[in-house]
Amino acid sequence: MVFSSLLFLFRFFPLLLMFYFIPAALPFLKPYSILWKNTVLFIGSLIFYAWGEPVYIVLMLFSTLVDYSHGILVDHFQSSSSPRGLFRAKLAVLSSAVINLSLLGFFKYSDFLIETINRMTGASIPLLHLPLPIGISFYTFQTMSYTIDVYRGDARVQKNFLAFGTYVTLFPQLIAGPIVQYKTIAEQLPARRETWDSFSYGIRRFLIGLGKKVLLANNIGLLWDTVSSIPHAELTSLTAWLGIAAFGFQLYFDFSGYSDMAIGLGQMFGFRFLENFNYPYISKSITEFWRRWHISLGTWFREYVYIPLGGNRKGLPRQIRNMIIVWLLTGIWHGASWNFLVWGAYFAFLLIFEKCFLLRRLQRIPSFFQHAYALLAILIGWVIFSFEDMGTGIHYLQVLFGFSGAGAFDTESLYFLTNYGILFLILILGSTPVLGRRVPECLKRCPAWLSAGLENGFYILVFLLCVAYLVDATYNPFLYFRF
Amino acid sequence: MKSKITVICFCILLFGLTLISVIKPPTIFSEKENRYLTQKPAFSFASLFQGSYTSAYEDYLSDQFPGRDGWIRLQSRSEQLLQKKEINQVYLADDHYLIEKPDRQDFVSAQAQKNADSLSAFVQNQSRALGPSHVRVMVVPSASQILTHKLPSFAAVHGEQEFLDAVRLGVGEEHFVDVSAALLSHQDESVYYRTDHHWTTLGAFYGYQAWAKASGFTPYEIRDFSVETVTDSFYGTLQAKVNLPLVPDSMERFSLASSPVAYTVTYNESEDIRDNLYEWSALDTRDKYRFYLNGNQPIVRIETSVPSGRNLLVIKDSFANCFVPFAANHFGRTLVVDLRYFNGDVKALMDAYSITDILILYQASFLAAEPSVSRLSLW
Repeated sequence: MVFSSLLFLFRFFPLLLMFYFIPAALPFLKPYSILWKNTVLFIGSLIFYAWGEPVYIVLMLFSTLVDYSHGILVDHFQSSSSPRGLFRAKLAVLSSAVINLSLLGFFKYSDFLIETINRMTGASIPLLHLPLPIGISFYTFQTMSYTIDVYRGDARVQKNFLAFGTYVTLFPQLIAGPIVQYKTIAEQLPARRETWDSFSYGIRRFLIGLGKKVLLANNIGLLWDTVSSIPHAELTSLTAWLGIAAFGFQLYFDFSGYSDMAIGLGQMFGFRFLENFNYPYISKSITEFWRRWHISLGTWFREYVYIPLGGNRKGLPRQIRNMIIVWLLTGIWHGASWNFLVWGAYFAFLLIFEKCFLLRRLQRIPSFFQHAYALLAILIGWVIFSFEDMGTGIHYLQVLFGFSGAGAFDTESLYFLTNYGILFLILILGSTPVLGRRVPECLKRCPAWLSAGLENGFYILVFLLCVAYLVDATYNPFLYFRF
Repeated sequence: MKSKITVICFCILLFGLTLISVIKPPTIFSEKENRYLTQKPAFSFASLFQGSYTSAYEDYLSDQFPGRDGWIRLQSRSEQLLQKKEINQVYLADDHYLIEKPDRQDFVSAQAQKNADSLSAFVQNQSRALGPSHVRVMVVPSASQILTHKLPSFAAVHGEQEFLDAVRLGVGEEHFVDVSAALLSHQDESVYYRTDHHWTTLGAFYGYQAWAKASGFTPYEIRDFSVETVTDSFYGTLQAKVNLPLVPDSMERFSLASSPVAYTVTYNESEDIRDNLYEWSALDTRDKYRFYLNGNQPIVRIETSVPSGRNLLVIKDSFANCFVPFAANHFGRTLVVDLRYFNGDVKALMDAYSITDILILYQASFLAAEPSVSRLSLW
């Protein structure tokens, strides 16, 4: 199931709210309220996940069980604090990592590997064509981090399977992140309070995310769909720039919208997830961009790969090696295809270049040029990201810079510009803190009744518009009298 | 306090809409979308595990969502506010015109190539059998090629003209009727509907004149017809796609005033025999375009009182429905075949009905995209 569907909004979500809050408020259930709430969330999350694809739920439960037991094992071995115990604890961590990475590797990367082997050796091993289990890249990382944290002493072992299962399957973050580390919500699992304030913040955050996804990302996505289907020989430079900008906006508003919805839903049920995006497109360098984009993934790789490899503490050559490893892994995490690996390598190169040379010089030029540099580098990154076939991607780059294609611009580019002009303006504004921070600050200075009215009116409007767009997406005139 | 207001507003909306959607009696048929709406699927564990229950349930939920039309209008309105110039692949053009945006992929697809080749082969074969002056091809351009002055600024439609040129070259200049030129010289008249993708009867009349001249006979002039408006509340396919409130179109019937012709119209080989070319009952439904020749039928045979001694075969899509009444006035017999619904042998039909002339009439993007066109190569 996805949040941006009528099914979620008008069946799953209201039912879950009722089951979660109403019985928990009954006096005789009071002593068991957290047990009840976790049970509802756990079962609800399983239904959420299983809707439409029930089979892979087994996989997720398996991964949950693996790390539940491995956490207990690690804790048990460590408690003896003998060298043998520590060694065994280490083995348990290794075993958890191996199992999780094998799951991920098998389901996500086997066809990629087989194809590569086939191409290199001329063999013809048949592909497996496994459908990718939803969210597997996210939940394997989460469960793995739990066991490692227990080993490091950063998290206490969780012996209650219900609480641990609730953490792994928690539906708000299950399908597309953020990657919630166990230690960040460990205290909220056995005891949490849902308040009017947190619930209302959750609603607002959820609606913002829903709007980003349904009203903005989906709509600008149409432009990218159109542009990417134009044969490159007919593509003009301006159209190509509009197209890749549309793709960048689509990706950001889709993904950050999803994170907003996750954070908002978490708040409604009393969880505080960490932020995942922080206006990435206002960055002045790639280094800054990666501190603002998909923060939970960056944090994960830093804590569980980069720092254990030695981070920046063992001299520049080692640091460069570590960065390369982290960024190749980050790239391939995004998808099982060569272009993602290249995309990772591209950022590794830029980040190392910035660290060794560019960053100091960048800071001396006007900030306009810093922004221009960062945006250009990001957009080129999206070209690599968006074309699985790298030849096509390279050709697209050539069109962007006028080395190929049908010239600088044509009437079609101007048509796209005028047709999507206002949407682009909204997207640009939405990518900066103007709408998200400045406007609410201004509202605070208004009388309370006015700001409350304006704000609630805005959120209601967003909600209604989202429903309208969701209903329209299924609007499907059957034109059998067509032609 | 402020938080409570937010929570209460949201919950009223969320639970209110949920409740209404649960208790609302189901709608069976959507006039606007011209289709039956999905009903609540029956639950079974088998269908649940196949995933067919879940997807059927989602279809049911959206089809039966309370106030469905209102939500869709809200969406169209907000697209207009965003200054969008097209909705669902339809241009919002000047003078309250809706103009369909043809898909450029249609014209460059393998199917398009195959259809063009099949058409050329058919035309060459029949031209040898019946004589070059007895075979004609009409490809009606989409409105976007003719009403160019009404299109939103910078809107450009790619691929169609190139496709038409390729067809022209393939079938041979002598067989190709230049409908585009005929329509372009009347682009300021109502040659296309405002809310539908079809040409109007007036547009078909100009097409008819071009075809008659290209075939070497004298067409009737506009003054030979009495023109009657049969409805002024026609909403076509394009209005259904954008779903905005618009002024409806009117539909016309041209009948020969000077020398009336008697018709015997046989639908689908004697299932249904009538004495006129129109289906009046269609005017009371949403699908009013079915008025002409009773919509898309596999075979329509029109016998007339015209003593011409020539028999015409029209292979066509729905653009011919309002065109055929003009053509029938010049032939003793007119046989209208729609390859989408007619699976038989066209050659056998031609022999059975002593066909002397052939007209192939399609709209451009349909000629490119419709798979059944490629069957032409069989004959």
